[in-house]
Amino acid sequence: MKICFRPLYLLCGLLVSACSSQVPVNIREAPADSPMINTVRENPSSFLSREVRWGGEILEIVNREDVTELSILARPLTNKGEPRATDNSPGRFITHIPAFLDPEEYTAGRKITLRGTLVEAQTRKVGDYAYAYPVLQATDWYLWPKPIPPSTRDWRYYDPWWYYDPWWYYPWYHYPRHPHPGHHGHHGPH
Amino acid sequence: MVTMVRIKRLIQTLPLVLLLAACASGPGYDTRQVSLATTPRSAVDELEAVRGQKVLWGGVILNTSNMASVTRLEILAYPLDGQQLPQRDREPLGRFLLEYQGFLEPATYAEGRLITTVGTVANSARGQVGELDYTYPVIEASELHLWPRDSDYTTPSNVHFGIGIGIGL
Repeated sequence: MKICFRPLYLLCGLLVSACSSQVPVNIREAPADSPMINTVRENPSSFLSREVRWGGEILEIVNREDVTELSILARPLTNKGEPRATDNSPGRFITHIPAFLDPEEYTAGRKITLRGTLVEAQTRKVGDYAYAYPVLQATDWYLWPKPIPPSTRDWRYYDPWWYYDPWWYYPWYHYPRHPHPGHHGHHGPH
Repeated sequence: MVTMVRIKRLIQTLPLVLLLAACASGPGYDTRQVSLATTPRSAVDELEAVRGQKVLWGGVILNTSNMASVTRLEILAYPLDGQQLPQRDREPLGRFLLEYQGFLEPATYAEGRLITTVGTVANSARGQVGELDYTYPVIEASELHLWPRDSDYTTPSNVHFGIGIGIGL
Protein backbone atom coordinates (compact mmCIF):
# COMPACT_ATOMS: atom_id res chain seq x y z
CA MET A 1 0.00 0.00 0.00
CA LYS A 2 2.77 2.37 0.94
CA ILE A 3 4.43 1.99 -2.44
CA CYS A 4 1.36 3.33 -4.21
CA PHE A 5 1.83 6.74 -2.61
CA ARG A 6 5.47 7.22 -3.56
CA PRO A 7 4.92 9.07 -6.84
CA LEU A 8 2.63 11.45 -5.01
CA TYR A 9 5.31 12.19 -2.42
CA LEU A 10 7.83 12.72 -5.20
CA LEU A 11 5.54 15.17 -6.93
CA CYS A 12 4.96 17.06 -3.69
CA GLY A 13 8.69 17.16 -3.05
CA LEU A 14 9.38 18.55 -6.50
CA LEU A 15 6.69 21.16 -6.10
CA VAL A 16 8.02 22.29 -2.74
CA SER A 17 11.60 22.45 -3.95
CA ALA A 18 10.52 24.46 -6.99
CA CYS A 19 9.10 27.08 -4.67
CA SER A 20 12.12 27.43 -2.42
CA SER A 21 14.45 30.40 -2.66
CA GLN A 22 18.04 30.48 -3.87
CA VAL A 23 19.27 30.99 -0.31
CA PRO A 24 21.07 27.77 0.70
CA VAL A 25 19.21 25.64 3.21
CA ASN A 26 22.12 25.78 5.68
CA ILE A 27 21.73 29.56 5.74
CA ARG A 28 17.94 29.59 5.82
CA GLU A 29 17.83 27.17 8.73
CA ALA A 30 19.77 27.57 11.96
CA PRO A 31 21.44 24.58 13.62
CA ALA A 32 19.73 23.39 16.77
CA ASP A 33 20.56 25.58 19.81
CA SER A 34 22.94 27.88 17.94
CA PRO A 35 24.31 30.12 20.74
CA MET A 36 24.00 33.89 20.58
CA ILE A 37 27.14 35.86 19.89
CA ASN A 38 27.07 37.86 23.14
CA THR A 39 26.82 34.62 25.13
CA VAL A 40 29.85 33.23 23.29
CA ARG A 41 31.86 36.42 23.83
CA GLU A 42 31.46 36.10 27.60
CA ASN A 43 32.96 32.63 27.68
CA PRO A 44 34.39 31.63 24.28
CA SER A 45 36.28 28.51 25.37
CA SER A 46 33.11 26.69 26.44
CA PHE A 47 31.64 27.01 22.94
CA LEU A 48 34.57 25.57 20.96
CA SER A 49 33.56 23.48 17.93
CA ARG A 50 29.88 24.38 18.39
CA GLU A 51 27.95 24.89 15.17
CA VAL A 52 26.42 28.35 14.68
CA ARG A 53 24.65 30.41 12.07
CA TRP A 54 25.53 34.07 12.43
CA GLY A 55 25.27 37.06 10.16
CA GLY A 56 25.64 40.79 9.95
CA GLU A 57 27.36 43.62 8.18
CA ILE A 58 30.89 43.28 6.77
CA LEU A 59 33.34 45.62 8.50
CA GLU A 60 36.57 44.52 6.87
CA ILE A 61 37.88 41.91 4.42
CA VAL A 62 41.42 40.54 4.32
CA ASN A 63 42.49 38.09 1.61
CA ARG A 64 45.08 35.69 2.97
CA GLU A 65 46.89 33.01 1.05
CA ASP A 66 44.26 30.30 1.32
CA VAL A 67 41.47 31.85 3.36
CA THR A 68 39.45 35.03 3.30
CA GLU A 69 39.03 36.67 6.65
CA LEU A 70 36.04 38.86 7.34
CA SER A 71 35.30 40.86 10.44
CA ILE A 72 31.60 41.27 10.84
CA LEU A 73 29.33 43.38 12.99
CA ALA A 74 26.62 40.89 13.89
CA ARG A 75 22.93 41.64 13.64
CA PRO A 76 19.93 39.68 14.83
CA LEU A 77 18.70 37.47 11.98
CA THR A 78 15.22 37.05 10.61
CA ASN A 79 13.78 33.54 10.66
CA LYS A 80 15.04 33.20 7.07
CA GLY A 81 18.57 34.01 8.20
CA GLU A 82 18.83 37.55 6.84
CA PRO A 83 20.48 40.20 9.05
CA ARG A 84 17.97 42.77 10.25
CA ALA A 85 18.48 46.51 9.68
CA THR A 86 18.83 47.50 13.33
CA ASP A 87 21.36 49.14 15.63
CA ASN A 88 20.97 46.36 18.19
CA SER A 89 24.16 44.48 17.47
CA PRO A 90 25.12 41.55 19.69
CA GLY A 91 28.80 42.24 18.88
CA ARG A 92 31.60 41.58 16.40
CA PHE A 93 33.04 38.32 15.16
CA ILE A 94 35.70 37.11 12.77
CA THR A 95 35.13 34.44 10.16
CA HIS A 96 37.55 32.39 8.11
CA ILE A 97 36.23 31.30 4.74
CA PRO A 98 38.16 28.58 2.87
CA ALA A 99 37.89 30.34 -0.50
CA PHE A 100 38.86 33.53 -2.26
CA LEU A 101 36.17 36.18 -1.91
CA ASP A 102 36.62 39.21 -4.11
CA PRO A 103 37.08 42.35 -1.98
CA GLU A 104 35.31 44.32 -4.72
CA GLU A 105 32.19 42.24 -4.13
CA TYR A 106 32.40 41.59 -0.40
CA THR A 107 32.68 45.25 0.52
CA ALA A 108 32.17 46.93 3.88
CA GLY A 109 28.49 47.37 4.64
CA ARG A 110 27.24 44.31 2.69
CA LYS A 111 25.07 41.83 4.54
CA ILE A 112 26.30 38.25 4.91
CA THR A 113 25.13 35.17 6.79
CA LEU A 114 27.45 32.26 7.55
CA ARG A 115 27.33 28.83 9.08
CA GLY A 116 30.19 26.89 10.54
CA THR A 117 31.92 25.92 13.76
CA LEU A 118 33.53 28.06 16.43
CA VAL A 119 37.31 27.89 16.76
CA GLU A 120 39.58 29.68 19.22
CA ALA A 121 38.69 33.30 19.97
CA GLN A 122 41.05 36.19 19.15
CA THR A 123 41.63 39.44 20.95
CA ARG A 124 42.29 42.42 18.71
CA LYS A 125 42.36 46.14 19.21
CA VAL A 126 39.45 48.38 18.26
CA GLY A 127 41.15 51.70 18.80
CA ASP A 128 42.85 50.97 22.14
CA TYR A 129 40.10 48.67 23.37
CA ALA A 130 41.00 44.97 23.53
CA TYR A 131 38.06 43.30 21.82
CA ALA A 132 37.47 39.56 22.15
CA TYR A 133 36.30 38.28 18.77
CA PRO A 134 34.74 34.84 18.49
CA VAL A 135 36.11 33.13 15.35
CA LEU A 136 33.81 31.19 13.07
CA GLN A 137 35.28 28.65 10.64
CA ALA A 138 32.71 28.92 7.86
CA THR A 139 31.40 26.02 5.81
CA ASP A 140 28.47 27.85 4.18
CA TRP A 141 27.97 31.53 3.48
CA TYR A 142 25.57 33.73 1.58
CA LEU A 143 26.05 37.34 0.55
CA TRP A 144 22.65 39.03 0.54
CA PRO A 145 21.78 41.11 -2.53
CA LYS A 146 22.31 44.84 -2.32
CA PRO A 147 19.12 46.74 -1.56
CA ILE A 148 18.00 48.67 -4.62
CA PRO A 149 17.90 52.41 -3.91
CA PRO A 150 14.40 53.73 -4.66
CA SER A 151 15.65 56.32 -7.14
CA THR A 152 17.14 53.70 -9.47
CA ARG A 153 14.18 51.35 -9.36
CA ASP A 154 12.37 50.62 -12.54
CA TRP A 155 9.67 53.19 -13.33
CA ARG A 156 7.07 50.43 -13.36
CA TYR A 157 7.32 50.21 -9.57
CA TYR A 158 6.03 53.74 -9.36
CA ASP A 159 3.18 53.11 -11.75
CA PRO A 160 0.54 51.05 -9.98
CA TRP A 161 -1.39 50.59 -13.24
CA TRP A 162 1.45 49.29 -15.39
CA TYR A 163 -0.04 45.84 -15.56
CA TYR A 164 -3.20 47.24 -17.10
CA ASP A 165 -1.30 49.44 -19.49
CA PRO A 166 -1.00 47.66 -22.86
CA TRP A 167 2.05 49.77 -23.77
CA TRP A 168 3.93 49.32 -20.50
CA TYR A 169 6.75 47.62 -22.33
CA TYR A 170 7.43 50.66 -24.52
CA PRO A 171 9.12 53.21 -22.30
CA TRP A 172 8.95 56.03 -24.88
CA TYR A 173 5.21 56.15 -24.38
CA HIS A 174 5.85 57.22 -20.81
CA TYR A 175 8.98 59.29 -21.38
CA PRO A 176 8.65 60.86 -24.84
CA ARG A 177 12.09 61.57 -26.21
CA HIS A 178 10.76 64.00 -28.79
CA PRO A 179 10.47 67.51 -27.44
CA HIS A 180 7.50 68.29 -29.75
CA PRO A 181 4.74 65.81 -29.07
CA GLY A 182 2.39 67.68 -31.40
CA HIS A 183 4.12 66.44 -34.58
CA HIS A 184 1.51 64.07 -36.08
CA GLY A 185 1.72 61.64 -33.19
CA HIS A 186 5.24 60.59 -34.18
CA HIS A 187 6.15 58.68 -31.04
CA GLY A 188 9.59 57.25 -30.67
CA PRO A 189 11.50 54.99 -33.03
CA HIS A 190 9.60 52.63 -35.33
CA MET B 1 -25.20 51.00 35.74
CA VAL B 2 -22.31 53.03 37.12
CA THR B 3 -19.82 50.32 36.23
CA MET B 4 -21.25 50.14 32.70
CA VAL B 5 -20.63 53.85 32.22
CA ARG B 6 -17.10 53.45 33.55
CA ILE B 7 -16.33 50.59 31.18
CA LYS B 8 -17.75 52.60 28.29
CA ARG B 9 -15.55 55.54 29.19
CA LEU B 10 -12.51 53.31 29.44
CA ILE B 11 -13.20 51.86 26.02
CA GLN B 12 -13.61 55.35 24.60
CA THR B 13 -10.32 56.64 25.99
CA LEU B 14 -8.26 53.54 25.23
CA PRO B 15 -7.59 54.35 21.54
CA LEU B 16 -6.52 57.86 22.53
CA VAL B 17 -4.04 56.51 25.05
CA LEU B 18 -2.68 54.07 22.50
CA LEU B 19 -2.31 56.84 19.92
CA LEU B 20 -0.42 59.07 22.33
CA ALA B 21 1.85 56.22 23.35
CA ALA B 22 2.63 55.55 19.69
CA CYS B 23 3.68 59.18 19.15
CA ALA B 24 6.24 59.36 21.95
CA SER B 25 9.37 58.12 20.18
CA GLY B 26 12.17 60.15 21.79
CA PRO B 27 14.18 59.13 24.84
CA GLY B 28 12.07 61.37 27.08
CA TYR B 29 14.85 62.21 29.51
CA ASP B 30 13.79 63.91 32.72
CA THR B 31 14.85 67.56 32.45
CA ARG B 32 14.09 68.59 36.04
CA GLN B 33 17.66 68.04 37.28
CA VAL B 34 19.21 69.39 34.07
CA SER B 35 20.55 72.91 33.54
CA LEU B 36 18.99 73.65 30.17
CA ALA B 37 20.66 77.04 29.73
CA THR B 38 24.16 75.55 29.58
CA THR B 39 25.39 74.94 26.04
CA PRO B 40 28.76 73.47 25.02
CA ARG B 41 30.02 76.94 24.17
CA SER B 42 28.92 78.54 27.43
CA ALA B 43 30.23 75.56 29.41
CA VAL B 44 33.77 76.24 28.17
CA ASP B 45 33.51 79.94 29.01
CA GLU B 46 32.37 79.36 32.57
CA LEU B 47 33.70 75.89 33.31
CA GLU B 48 34.20 76.42 37.05
CA ALA B 49 30.59 77.52 37.44
CA VAL B 50 29.06 74.59 35.55
CA ARG B 51 31.40 71.77 36.57
CA GLY B 52 29.34 68.94 38.05
CA GLN B 53 26.12 70.20 36.50
CA LYS B 54 23.85 67.83 34.64
CA VAL B 55 23.23 68.72 30.99
CA LEU B 56 20.99 67.38 28.23
CA TRP B 57 22.86 67.80 24.96
CA GLY B 58 22.56 66.30 21.54
CA GLY B 59 24.07 66.55 18.11
CA VAL B 60 25.84 64.80 15.29
CA ILE B 61 28.76 62.44 15.95
CA LEU B 62 31.96 63.68 14.31
CA ASN B 63 34.42 61.12 15.62
CA THR B 64 34.50 58.00 17.81
CA SER B 65 37.62 56.81 19.63
CA ASN B 66 37.81 53.67 21.72
CA MET B 67 40.22 53.82 24.66
CA ALA B 68 41.14 50.88 26.87
CA SER B 69 38.08 51.25 29.09
CA VAL B 70 36.37 54.43 27.89
CA THR B 71 34.77 55.46 24.61
CA ARG B 72 35.03 59.09 23.62
CA LEU B 73 32.70 60.72 21.10
CA GLU B 74 33.27 64.12 19.54
CA ILE B 75 29.88 65.72 18.91
CA LEU B 76 28.73 68.90 17.23
CA ALA B 77 25.80 70.06 19.34
CA TYR B 78 22.51 71.37 17.97
CA PRO B 79 19.42 72.69 19.76
CA LEU B 80 16.98 69.91 20.66
CA ASP B 81 13.36 69.86 19.64
CA GLY B 82 10.40 68.81 21.81
CA GLN B 83 11.29 65.14 21.37
CA GLN B 84 14.91 65.90 22.36
CA LEU B 85 16.00 65.27 18.76
CA PRO B 86 18.93 67.44 17.57
CA GLN B 87 17.77 69.94 14.96
CA ARG B 88 20.41 70.00 12.27
CA ASP B 89 18.79 72.88 10.38
CA ARG B 90 19.46 75.23 13.32
CA GLU B 91 22.68 77.01 14.27
CA PRO B 92 25.10 74.61 16.02
CA LEU B 93 25.91 75.23 19.68
CA GLY B 94 29.57 74.19 19.57
CA ARG B 95 31.44 70.93 19.96
CA PHE B 96 31.77 68.73 23.01
CA LEU B 97 33.41 65.48 24.02
CA LEU B 98 31.33 62.72 25.55
CA GLU B 99 33.03 60.07 27.67
CA TYR B 100 31.29 56.76 28.21
CA GLN B 101 32.57 54.13 30.63
CA GLY B 102 32.80 51.01 28.49
CA PHE B 103 32.88 50.07 24.83
CA LEU B 104 30.63 51.67 22.25
CA GLU B 105 30.68 50.04 18.82
CA PRO B 106 32.31 52.57 16.47
CA ALA B 107 30.48 51.12 13.46
CA THR B 108 27.18 51.89 15.20
CA TYR B 109 28.17 55.12 16.97
CA ALA B 110 29.52 56.28 13.65
CA GLU B 111 30.26 59.65 12.10
CA GLY B 112 27.07 61.38 11.00
CA ARG B 113 24.72 59.64 13.45
CA LEU B 114 22.52 61.73 15.74
CA ILE B 115 22.73 61.26 19.47
CA THR B 116 21.08 62.75 22.56
CA THR B 117 22.75 62.37 25.93
CA VAL B 118 22.42 63.25 29.60
CA GLY B 119 25.74 63.76 31.36
CA THR B 120 27.73 65.66 33.93
CA VAL B 121 30.12 68.43 32.96
CA ALA B 122 33.52 67.09 34.08
CA ASN B 123 36.28 69.30 32.65
CA SER B 124 37.61 70.67 29.40
CA ALA B 125 40.06 69.30 26.86
CA ARG B 126 42.13 70.94 24.17
CA GLY B 127 42.08 69.70 20.64
CA GLN B 128 42.52 70.97 17.13
CA VAL B 129 39.97 71.69 14.44
CA GLY B 130 42.10 72.11 11.37
CA GLU B 131 44.84 74.41 12.62
CA LEU B 132 42.68 76.07 15.24
CA ASP B 133 43.11 75.24 18.91
CA TYR B 134 39.68 74.28 20.14
CA THR B 135 38.61 73.87 23.75
CA TYR B 136 35.97 71.23 24.28
CA PRO B 137 33.83 70.73 27.33
CA VAL B 138 33.98 67.07 28.43
CA ILE B 139 30.90 65.40 29.85
CA GLU B 140 30.62 62.03 31.50
CA ALA B 141 27.58 60.42 29.95
CA SER B 142 25.01 58.66 32.07
CA GLU B 143 22.34 58.24 29.37
CA LEU B 144 22.72 57.78 25.62
CA HIS B 145 20.11 57.73 22.91
CA LEU B 146 21.28 56.98 19.39
CA TRP B 147 18.65 58.05 16.90
CA PRO B 148 17.64 55.72 14.07
CA ARG B 149 19.24 56.60 10.75
CA ASP B 150 16.02 57.90 9.22
CA SER B 151 15.18 60.37 12.00
CA ASP B 152 17.39 62.96 10.34
CA TYR B 153 15.54 65.52 8.28
CA THR B 154 18.05 65.27 5.41
CA THR B 155 17.00 61.69 4.64
CA PRO B 156 14.54 61.71 1.76
CA SER B 157 11.23 60.10 2.53
CA ASN B 158 10.37 56.81 0.93
CA VAL B 159 6.79 57.92 0.48
CA HIS B 160 6.22 59.59 -2.85
CA PHE B 161 3.12 61.10 -4.33
CA GLY B 162 2.56 61.23 -8.03
CA ILE B 163 -0.10 61.93 -10.60
CA GLY B 164 -0.89 59.22 -13.10
CA ILE B 165 -3.13 58.84 -16.10
CA GLY B 166 -4.82 55.55 -16.83
CA ILE B 167 -6.72 54.31 -19.85
CA GLY B 168 -9.45 51.69 -19.57
CA LEU B 169 -10.06 49.45 -22.55
